[in-house]
Amino acid sequence: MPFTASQILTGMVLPAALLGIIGLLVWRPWKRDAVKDFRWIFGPLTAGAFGIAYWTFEPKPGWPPIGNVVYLLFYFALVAGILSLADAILKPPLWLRAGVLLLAWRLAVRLLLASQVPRNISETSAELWIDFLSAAVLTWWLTFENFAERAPGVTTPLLLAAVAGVSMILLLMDLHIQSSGALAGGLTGLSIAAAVLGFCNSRIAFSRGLAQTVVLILLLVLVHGYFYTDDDLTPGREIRAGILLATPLLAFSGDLAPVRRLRPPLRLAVRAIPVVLALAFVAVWAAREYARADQAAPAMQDE
Amino acid sequence: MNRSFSLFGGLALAMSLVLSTAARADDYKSDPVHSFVVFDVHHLNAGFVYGTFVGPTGDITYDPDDLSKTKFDLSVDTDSIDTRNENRNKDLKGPDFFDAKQYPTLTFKSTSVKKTGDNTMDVTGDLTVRGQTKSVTVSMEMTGTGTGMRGETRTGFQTSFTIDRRDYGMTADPEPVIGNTIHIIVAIEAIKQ
Repeated sequence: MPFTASQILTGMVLPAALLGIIGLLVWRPWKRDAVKDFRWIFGPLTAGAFGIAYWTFEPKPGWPPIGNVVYLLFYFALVAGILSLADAILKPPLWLRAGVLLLAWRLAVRLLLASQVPRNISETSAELWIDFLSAAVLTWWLTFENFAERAPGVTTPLLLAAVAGVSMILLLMDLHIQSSGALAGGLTGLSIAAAVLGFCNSRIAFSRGLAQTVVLILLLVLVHGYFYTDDDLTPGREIRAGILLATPLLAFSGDLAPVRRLRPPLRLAVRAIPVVLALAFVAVWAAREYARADQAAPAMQDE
Repeated sequence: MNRSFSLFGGLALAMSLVLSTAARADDYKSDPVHSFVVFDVHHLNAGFVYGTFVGPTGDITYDPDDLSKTKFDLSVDTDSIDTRNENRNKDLKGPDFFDAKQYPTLTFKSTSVKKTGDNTMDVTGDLTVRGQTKSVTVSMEMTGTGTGMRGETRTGFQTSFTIDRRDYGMTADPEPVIGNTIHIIVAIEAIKQ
């Protein structure tokens, strides 16, 4: 068992419980007619809850965050929480939100890769990676914000839970990084807690709050895992990571011309089902590969 | 002429004797081929897992008469860790443990050396693992001096000490999966420069 019961309680259950309880107290989903827009709470709440998970599984963050790149995950979570809070309160236009988000993201990825340039990654490659990952974060952010805006309630946090859960599987089984897997597990827990809230009241909105914060943190955890694992990035692992990264694109299937004529719930299903299927494919494939490697390991030891 | 030559020669001899006495602190370089870093750690509260690093490499200044002049400046290549299982090696090189891509070396720089016996000393220094530096004091033994195949002087040093891996941010696989206390043996054969 890679984690103790106390770590699981403190790093996964407690943050999810906090988000669920505070979200419940603020949104009061039982008062269906009097729901105000409290989505601003989710940015700082998600960042704070993730901070508890980080504190449980990673080294205590130092300042400035130069001693260990993993500190960036903690500080970037705070930035993501503040960005979401500003988005919810100030309601800036989309282009401004995207611009600020990209600035923060590019800085974070640049700092994350800094210790590997030029030793493991050339400066040109690093720039290309930063551009590519900026496009990826923009796609994820647009997809999930779009989802959360159009369909308040349980759908978005459930999809986020699926993405974070599969990310956890890849980090644990493909990249063999327990701490990063645990952080993704923490984000899965937060998304499940939000899904419970959304299930209680379908008017609870997760755009400009939970969706944005979870997406930003999760992607940075994945980027850290991908670049800092010492495991061989076999073609299978690269493909699985690529599918996971591209999965949100499948959600745009809801914008195809024939689908546009469908009723909103059906259209939502057309968006969500391919994403879930792709995620399930990646998870099953990774688990099978892991089991195969695990079975081969004793033979290798005998040699 | 002869007299002045012998006077000059005598002075030179005297000076060289004085200088050689004053400069007993000899510089050495660690020979990684004949040096070892071996560690062991308790697994599942059952057996012990052993591992090695290549090296260490680095510089040693050694003065048996005045140990305050003795210095150790050593480093170990993190990527060289070997526990006789490739999967475990990769895990140990990954971010949960030594994080070799971010921290390619482990270093030890002595800050003070105190004599404790004829060939033993307490060496205090900064041990940096995963970018975290902690002061440690180890009991070091000078294990002997010999002459190599090319006539070079070789001196051996050995120490055995323990660290708590959590002090260096290695918290994955908590006890009892992997013990927190790591026992380390460092055996160095250094070549006089």
